[in-house]
Amino acid sequence: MSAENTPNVADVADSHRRRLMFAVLLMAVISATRAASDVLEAGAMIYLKGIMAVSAIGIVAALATLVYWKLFKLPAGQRELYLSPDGFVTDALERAKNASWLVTFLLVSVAAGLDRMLSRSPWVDLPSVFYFNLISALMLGTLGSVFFFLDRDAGNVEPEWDASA
Amino acid sequence: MHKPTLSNRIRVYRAEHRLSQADLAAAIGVSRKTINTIEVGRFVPSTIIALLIARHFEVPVEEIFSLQR
Repeated sequence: MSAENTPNVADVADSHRRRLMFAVLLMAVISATRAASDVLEAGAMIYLKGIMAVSAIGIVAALATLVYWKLFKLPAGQRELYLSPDGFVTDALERAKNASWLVTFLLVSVAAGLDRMLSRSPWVDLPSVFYFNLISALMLGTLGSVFFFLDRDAGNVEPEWDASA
Repeated sequence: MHKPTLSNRIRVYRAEHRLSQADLAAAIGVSRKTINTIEVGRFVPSTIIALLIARHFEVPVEEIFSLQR
C-alpha cells in the first residue's frame, strides 16, 4: 500500500469514536423502549420488540467493524496514535460526557423533588427496572446527542487552500 | 475583562508550504478535523499539538499562535 493510500490513523480513530457514539444512541433507544414496555399496553410490544431488535443489530454491526479494524487492520506501531486523547473529537466526547452527567443529575433531582411534593407518587406502581432503563436512556441519549451536536459539520469543508487543487 | 482568544496563522503557513489540512494532520499525527477546527478557532489545541505544528514549520510557536483580546 502506498503512503498516499494509507489512511491517517487519527482520522480512523475519529470515525470509530463517531461509530461508538452511534452505538450509544442505539443503546439509549433500547433502554427507552424497555422503559416504555412497562407503561404501554401489551399490544405495543410487537413494535417495541422490533425497535429493540433493529437497534441491537445496529449496535453489533457498529462495534464489530470497530473491533475487527482494531484487531486486524491497525498498523503496527500506531496503537498509541489510535488511542491518543489529543484532538477535536475526543474533546467533544469529553464535553458530551460532562453534559450527560449534568443533565441526568438535574433531571433525577427534579424528579425526586416532584415526588416529595406530590401527595401520591405516580411512580410507585412501576418496577424498579423501569427507573434504571429510564435513567440509562436519558444518560446515553444525552451523551450521543450532545456529541453529534458538537461534532456537527465542523471541519467537513477545507477552507481556502487545498494542495490537491 | 474580556476573555482572550487564541488566534493562529496555520492557514498561512500551510499555503506557504503547499500543504493541505490532511497533509499537515498526517505529518503531526492528528486528524484532519482537528487541524480544521484549530484553524477556524473552534478548538483550542493542547500545548503538545501547538508545539508539533510549530516544529513542523520550523518556527517558534509564537509565530503561529497568539493571544487576542
